[in-house]
Amino acid sequence: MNAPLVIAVPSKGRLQKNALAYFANAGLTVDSPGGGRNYRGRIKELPGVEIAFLSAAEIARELCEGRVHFGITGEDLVRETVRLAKSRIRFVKKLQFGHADIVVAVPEAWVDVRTMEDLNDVAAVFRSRHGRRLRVATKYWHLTQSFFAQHGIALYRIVESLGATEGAPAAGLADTIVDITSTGATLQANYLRVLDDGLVLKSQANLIYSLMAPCSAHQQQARDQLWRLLKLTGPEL
Amino acid sequence: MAMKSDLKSLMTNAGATWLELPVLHPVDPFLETAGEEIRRRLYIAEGSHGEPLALRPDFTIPTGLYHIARSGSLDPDAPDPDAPDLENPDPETPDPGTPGTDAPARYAYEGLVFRRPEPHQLSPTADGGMSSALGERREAGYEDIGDADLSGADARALAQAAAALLALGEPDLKAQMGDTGLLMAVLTALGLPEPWKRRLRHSFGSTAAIAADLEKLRTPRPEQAGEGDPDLAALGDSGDQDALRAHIADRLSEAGLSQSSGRSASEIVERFLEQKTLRGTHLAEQSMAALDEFFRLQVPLQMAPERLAGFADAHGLNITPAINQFDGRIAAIQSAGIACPITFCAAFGRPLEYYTGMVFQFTRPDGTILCGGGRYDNLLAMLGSQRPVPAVGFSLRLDRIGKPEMRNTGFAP
Repeated sequence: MNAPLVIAVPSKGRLQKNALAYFANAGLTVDSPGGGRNYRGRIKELPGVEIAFLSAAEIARELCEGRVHFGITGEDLVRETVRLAKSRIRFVKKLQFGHADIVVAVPEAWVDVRTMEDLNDVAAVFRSRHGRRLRVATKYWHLTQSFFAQHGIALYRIVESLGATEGAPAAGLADTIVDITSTGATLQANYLRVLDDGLVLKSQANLIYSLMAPCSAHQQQARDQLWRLLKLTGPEL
Repeated sequence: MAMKSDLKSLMTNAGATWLELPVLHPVDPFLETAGEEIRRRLYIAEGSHGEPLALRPDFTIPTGLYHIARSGSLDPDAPDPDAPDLENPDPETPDPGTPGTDAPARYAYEGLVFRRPEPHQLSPTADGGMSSALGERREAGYEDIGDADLSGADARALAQAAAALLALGEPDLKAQMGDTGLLMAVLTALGLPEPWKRRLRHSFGSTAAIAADLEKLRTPRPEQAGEGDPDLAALGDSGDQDALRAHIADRLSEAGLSQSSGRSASEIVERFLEQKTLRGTHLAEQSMAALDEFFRLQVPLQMAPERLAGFADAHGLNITPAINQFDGRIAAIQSAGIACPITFCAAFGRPLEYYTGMVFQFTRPDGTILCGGGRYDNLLAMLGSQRPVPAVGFSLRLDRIGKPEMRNTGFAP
């Protein structure tokens, strides 16, 4: 029995609904025999394909490791999880759902801080005034480090945020945050303001192909069929 | 290893104590001094209590910590430094002894340092993957800590570096030298506000970053303080600092933010009011020309005092104390007699906060950097010393120095 081409799809929420709708629009019906608790599924119209239902974060990791061929997940998770993304995955298509921005936000009372340059200045003197470095709470270590580095800010410390990142400043755990936001309502409710040039990444769900996953002749056939049915454009895989 | 014992005798004969320092260190001193920026380059392992330990990326910080522990000038309230394990001393490293007087000391060392290569340092392999370059290389070095005779210590460090390179089989050398103190004196004399001095200081060493800063100084930006917030703008215009502070204090407390551990209302208001002048800062054409000329200064070291005096005169800048200190160092260097040509390059700098004075490097004629060093008077205080301690030192790239068969393979140059 030939190994199927594996597509990883989000296992719950709006991301899953939208992912399934994306396939449906191309005339592809995703079945998960055995009901909601089954982590595997099939596409009725494509027998050589298997669906793996995973969390959005796991999908990013599986694509990076080459354990699935395709995946639908947020660009933010991929860029955060995958080092040297260019050599391991290819963003095949932006899917126009799951929009969210990763932003740098400071307490709104910091009326003198509107830009990354202001933040840089504040960070530079923070230690001499407060005996410690400026702290940034975030789940996005890599994205934060590269964004801050781009803006020439080195003098800060990242504090891992395990829960609601927006609550970190009020809880005394950090001074500023880098977090994901869609409407901005949560930030406002926590008295936080996004810096004018504080957009780290405009993220949305993408269909992604793994350059690390081995692809047999059979799997390539299924892949090419999928490519045609989804009417994908761009360089051939 | 033949090379190591040659170097060791050279250093110990010059009065340096040979140290065998631990490879594993708590990450904190590295992160606190260099900031988050360095974390990407650290190899981090977990200690027995789950605490993060780094494979040392350099020797300067471990040596500084050793000196602090040895001299007993630990600040009890400072962040916990890596004290040497007095129960299990390394037989080769002298027992730091009873903490006592702040005696100056010179140290030397040799060993591996570990830094994760940047993506651009990796090269694609034939099968389309990426080579995993080794993140380790062999280094040796020297630190002169606590000597109040700054010029003397600077000259000695330079002479020691040149002697070490010669002994290791590198006869054909050139050196470049810059001076952070001189840069700061020029910026002060030009009347630049503190934030701008800090920005240029941080960009020092990167021609691109300095050029970007200078471009911003050339063109003023419109005032933005209080934009979109009419209440705040009104308070700002009124100049009533008490009212402004009270307003900000209210906003901080509404957000549940403590004024004692985070930024206070005073701090925010101070900078808010400063911004009105800050955003409008731009230097007069003459001052921009002076800065441009400064960064372009490049002369043989012995001609530098005269050139600098001429530069200061031509632009009416009072930087006499900095020039005097510079001249004193040149005189000491000339007495020490260093065989290779040294060029003073005003634009040559190191961005790390703790470098304060002379910075230098030795290269082959083709430009390959073999040794880098400088004065770092701010470091020991950042590591927890109660008093500021002057320090100067250098490190030698053993992965490049000497005959190819004597080097180790290291990460990309």
